[in-house]
Amino acid sequence: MLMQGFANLFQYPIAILLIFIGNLAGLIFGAIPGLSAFTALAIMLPLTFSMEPVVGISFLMSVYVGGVSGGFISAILLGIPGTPSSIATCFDGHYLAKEGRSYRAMGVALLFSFIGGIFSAVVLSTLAPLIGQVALRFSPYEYTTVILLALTTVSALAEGSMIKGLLSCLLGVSLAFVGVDRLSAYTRYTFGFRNLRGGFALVPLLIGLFAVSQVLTNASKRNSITAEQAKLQLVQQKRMKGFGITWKEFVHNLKVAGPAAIIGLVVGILPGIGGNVANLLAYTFAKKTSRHPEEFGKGSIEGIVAPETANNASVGGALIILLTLGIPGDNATSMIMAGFQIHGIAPGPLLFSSGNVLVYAIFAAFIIANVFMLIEGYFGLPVFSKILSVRTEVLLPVVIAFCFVGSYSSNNRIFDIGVMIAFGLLGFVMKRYKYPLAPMVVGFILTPMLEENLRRSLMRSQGSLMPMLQSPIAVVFLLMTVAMLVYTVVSESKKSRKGAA
Amino acid sequence: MSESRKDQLSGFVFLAFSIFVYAASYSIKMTKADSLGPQFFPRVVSVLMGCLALLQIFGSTRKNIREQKDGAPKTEKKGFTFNLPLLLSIALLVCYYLLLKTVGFVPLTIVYLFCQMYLLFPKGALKEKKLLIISILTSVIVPFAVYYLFYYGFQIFLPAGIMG
Repeated sequence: MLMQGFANLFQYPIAILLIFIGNLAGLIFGAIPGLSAFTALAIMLPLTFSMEPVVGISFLMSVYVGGVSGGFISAILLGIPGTPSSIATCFDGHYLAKEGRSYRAMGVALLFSFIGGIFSAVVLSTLAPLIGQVALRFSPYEYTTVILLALTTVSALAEGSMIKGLLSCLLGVSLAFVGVDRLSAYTRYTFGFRNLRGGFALVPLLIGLFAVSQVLTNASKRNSITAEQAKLQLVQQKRMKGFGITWKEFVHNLKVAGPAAIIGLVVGILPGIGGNVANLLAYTFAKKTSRHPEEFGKGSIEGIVAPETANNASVGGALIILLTLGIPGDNATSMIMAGFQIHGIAPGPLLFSSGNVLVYAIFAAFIIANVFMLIEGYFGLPVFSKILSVRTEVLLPVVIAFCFVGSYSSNNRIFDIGVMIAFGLLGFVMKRYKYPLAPMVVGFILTPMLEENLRRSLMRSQGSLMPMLQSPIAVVFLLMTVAMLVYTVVSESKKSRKGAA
Repeated sequence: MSESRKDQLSGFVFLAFSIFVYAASYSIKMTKADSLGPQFFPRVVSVLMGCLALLQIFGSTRKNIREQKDGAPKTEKKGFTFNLPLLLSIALLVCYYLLLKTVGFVPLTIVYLFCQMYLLFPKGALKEKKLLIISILTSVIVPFAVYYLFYYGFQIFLPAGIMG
């Protein structure tokens, strides 16, 4: 099947070229602090409108892979994570750069990003079809409970308190009510505005919440930075051949990469947390289990291997859940979800119904993107250090210009630019008041599915909730939901007691 | 404003919002198509949100009282200051939205890009000639490039405005 996917993809030579370009663009965006995989996706999304679905989605996939990987470049060279997924890479990577050995650090980071990516690609292409087959048999009962679990997880695991996470999630849920109710065909919460009849479009909502709010945040900090502080300092770096490590070191570090890849994969599967948590968690785990924990923070190679393997492995994990159940876990996967929607495809178990070749082509694209990432990164390393001197102050407005295009052209109406700006303000205020944004987005995306499935279940059972408790799968999901809530409440009350003592 | 104050305030905002959602659910037309109808779900959500907002208010108020008892160093009262770059950026975005149809994508985006860059650069940074030239060139080239790329490359027609 995977071979078929490759064959299907190779029918479009343009797709291969676009994967190459998308990956490179992702790497560059990931490398620039302040821009991330999400920003890269936001810019690239409008470009896919007129592409074939396979081509467009493969392209977005490659941008995502590049975007998650690129972060290590600035993490190592500047000590500033290019994306949140590379926070832990700074600790040891930048230490090496200060000694002039950044090529070694970047070589290792690149190599193990690739390992993590390929590992997750293999797991994705073997596990996803199995999960997809199971999910195909889900009745509305099971669907309702799995969405409830996803919403609880995203709210509980997001940064900040659980109450804030849940409030943010419910806000997203209520925003999804706007528009025509799918089951009864009556409009809700449109307040007479014609433009709201279709509800809020996903693209302007996402772009506003994450990209526009960032411009506002940066602008609000403007007066606290002086021109001198904004200049960057680079240490002269020693050139290296190859990836900067010997074969023996490579094999030794595979032992570190193994657990890190699994951590990344599992974290990726959980909605609400992604590359950033995987990155930090894998670093901590590697440090605890290492034979030389004292070297961590002082240029340990293991300290680069673990976080970089993990963040790339999380990409595959996030894609498993997106492709099989249609549940996006974070802002970048929500953007890919928007890419699917633009082409009239709903990610979810139906992708795995027989005869659907698209999903295997996506797997193929994901693998190719990882290979390209390795090649482009290898030859690009000397150039990347120059990219970092590009100023964010120039780039961020350009990103917004693309966001205007993206919002406008998804429905060809100026109204959506207004929506984007409104959500930009909302996102800015929520960040200020320390409310996580991911639960809101996931809530917004999953609500129509949740409501439809819940009401369908109750129509089936004539208003009784009992049949839901007779489905073993649904019960497992419900128990997990309750466990998640209890666990979070307990750990939070422990934390606050510690804080009070 | 201290953290707990902020939490308190945001709790009240959410409470108000949940009441609003509940109240507005009365104007949804009822159907008998399914036992729940289109009103049910919004009401459940608003009630849940209201309860959580109350919890948030309660928790942050308690924390606030504790902080004051502990005699925690009071956050010095800053008079409310206008964050000018922020307010101007918001104004800039709103103007963009309002003027796009009449002015058109290219000219308006040129203005937007340059103004937004000016608002992001640290004060005085644009006195440096090199940065100024880069900013101006980017502001002018990007809108033209984007407009024609989408026009010819993807058949997506952006508002032409005065250029059309």
